[in-house]
Amino acid sequence: MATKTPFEGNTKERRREAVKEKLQFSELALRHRIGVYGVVLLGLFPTFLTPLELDAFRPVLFFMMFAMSWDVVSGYTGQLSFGHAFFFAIGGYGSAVVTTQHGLPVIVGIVLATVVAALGGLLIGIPALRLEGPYLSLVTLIAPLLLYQTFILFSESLPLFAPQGLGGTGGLPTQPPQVVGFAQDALITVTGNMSWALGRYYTAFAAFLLVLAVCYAVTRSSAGTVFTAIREDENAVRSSGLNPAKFKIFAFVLAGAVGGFAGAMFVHAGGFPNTENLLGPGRIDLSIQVIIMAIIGGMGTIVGAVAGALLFALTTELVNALTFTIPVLGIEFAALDPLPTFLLAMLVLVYLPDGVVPEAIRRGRRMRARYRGEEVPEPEPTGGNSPVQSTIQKYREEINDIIGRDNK
Amino acid sequence: MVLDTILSAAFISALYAVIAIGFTLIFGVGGILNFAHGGFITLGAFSAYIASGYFGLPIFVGLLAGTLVGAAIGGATYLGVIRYVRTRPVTILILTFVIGFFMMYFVRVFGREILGIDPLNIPVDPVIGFSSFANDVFIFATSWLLIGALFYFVNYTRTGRAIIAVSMSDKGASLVGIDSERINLITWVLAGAFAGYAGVLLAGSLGGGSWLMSIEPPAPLVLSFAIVILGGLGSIKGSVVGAYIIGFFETFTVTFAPGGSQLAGISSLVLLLVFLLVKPEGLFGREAAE
Repeated sequence: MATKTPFEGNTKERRREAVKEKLQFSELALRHRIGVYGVVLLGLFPTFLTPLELDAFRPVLFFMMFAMSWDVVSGYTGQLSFGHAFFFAIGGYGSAVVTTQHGLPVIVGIVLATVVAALGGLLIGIPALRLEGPYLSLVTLIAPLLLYQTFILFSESLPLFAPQGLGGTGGLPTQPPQVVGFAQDALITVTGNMSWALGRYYTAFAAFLLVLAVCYAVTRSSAGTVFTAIREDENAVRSSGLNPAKFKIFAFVLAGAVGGFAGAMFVHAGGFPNTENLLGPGRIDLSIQVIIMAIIGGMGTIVGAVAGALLFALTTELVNALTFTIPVLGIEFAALDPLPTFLLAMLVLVYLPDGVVPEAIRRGRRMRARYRGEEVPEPEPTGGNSPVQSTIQKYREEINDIIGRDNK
Repeated sequence: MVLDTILSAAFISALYAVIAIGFTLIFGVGGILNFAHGGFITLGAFSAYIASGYFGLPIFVGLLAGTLVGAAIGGATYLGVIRYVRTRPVTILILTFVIGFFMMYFVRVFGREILGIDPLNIPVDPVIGFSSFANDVFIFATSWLLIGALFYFVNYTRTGRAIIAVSMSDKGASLVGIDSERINLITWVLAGAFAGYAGVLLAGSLGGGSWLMSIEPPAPLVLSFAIVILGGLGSIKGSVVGAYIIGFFETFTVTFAPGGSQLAGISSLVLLLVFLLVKPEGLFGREAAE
């Protein structure tokens, strides 16, 4: 291929070439190759797990999607959202209501739910333009609580939208039609437990791949660069002629759509549409768990969200598997769930603030360099701050601004 | 009818003020939004249950136990965790959330597995048992007593003034020889004590605590956040005023609005959302702890 100056040749073709070059598997950086292997491994899980284990693992795929949805907006733009389950619940309830109470097909339900959740993103994104730091945290924190109260308020019936009501605290009365299931209303009707479990797993897995692809593509595109720039310095973004407001709203809408889509897929792939599944047993704790996952894995990386969700789930699983009795208290260790997981999350937050994935990449780089006999790279090869550091910086300035503190 | 409503609004507002004040203190002095506040409240109520319900001691002992445990947990949270991450506000924010949920789940696990009670219904008696009116008066009176004492402490004692100094500028404070580490610890202990005390009273007047009590209506965690924002982050005076605004607004909508009883717990949130969008700096914003 002859070298071309950037201004020569067909633009479309050059773009295609560039993308093709990037997708050459053998040319990928080691960490990307590990990532691809990981995703393939997730896809191969059904080959060595029993249907029961598969079913137990399926929620983890959804946690990954939820955490990615958080990472897109909060990890990248630094606008911390404390009530992300708002979107999941809108998506899950939305699709369930559309399919069970209006009798529309599953596909329509999922699309509509995604659109409605994207509108929810707009609803949060617009105040986010005016509000900073703690104020935004409060608005996002209130959102799922208000939603919860709405479910109770309209438990019997919500005229026009949900004629049979939102089910209150117990969740919706009927399980919505499945993508793959035994019943006739399922998109793909199957017989036999194995194909049913497989179908549900791969439904979730397909949704996961889609969400991963969308989040990855957007954050690695020029829009992702602007997101990062907003986190680092909003004025710099403004002075280069870009409108940060537009990108912030885009981030919120994208996160809302992704979260809503994941929530919708959740109820159509075996999950039950109730508040415990979509908002958490403590009403806001799913939102918080999602943040923990994304931060444990490493915020502002998308991949970190996936790894964090996996780690979180493994810890919970491990705790549940330990059934020995604690001597003094006389109860099983597993009964302590989720306390040990939370404790671990605290430790990671204190000691590994950048998250597991960036830390692993850094160590991996150093180890490889040593192995190859090259010069060991500097800890921060790109210069600048890590996502966590700059979000912290931003937040601290906002807080000092609010309480009028002078800490120069 | 109106008089009754005003009276009950005043009573509930007094309770809200006690709930919110600890949150304000920590934010005003350390610049930390302490989401573990809900956990302190829950643990306060739970300790009162252990002292009075489980061991059968009088409820006054329970009130004392709740307050002391709140203070101890507040101090322990600062010494054990927050101290090490003070320069990382986002980490703190999420950590306080994790700590708060840890405490809530602790109450759930401990209550269900070891004490064998329903963690959604932890019986805590009102402090004044024979009439709920007397109990309300007790809450109202002690609320003002405590707020007055706090005012006096912050404005007229050496330690209190040191707290104001740290809240204005911890570098400036350390230049004049104030140990900001100690001041922070004092605020956390105070805030924890207030939260524990409020937790016992709240559980008593609701007829029982719950592991979810900090986010169930009236959702003291969200409420204190709301009150503090309404009054202006970090201002004690502001949060007392904010507590009364929210208390009155909520009581009046619940009593007089059509279908109002269903609006409990929502109306104040909606008020807050409107307020945030119109006047986000709050009524008494940009004031240090006073």
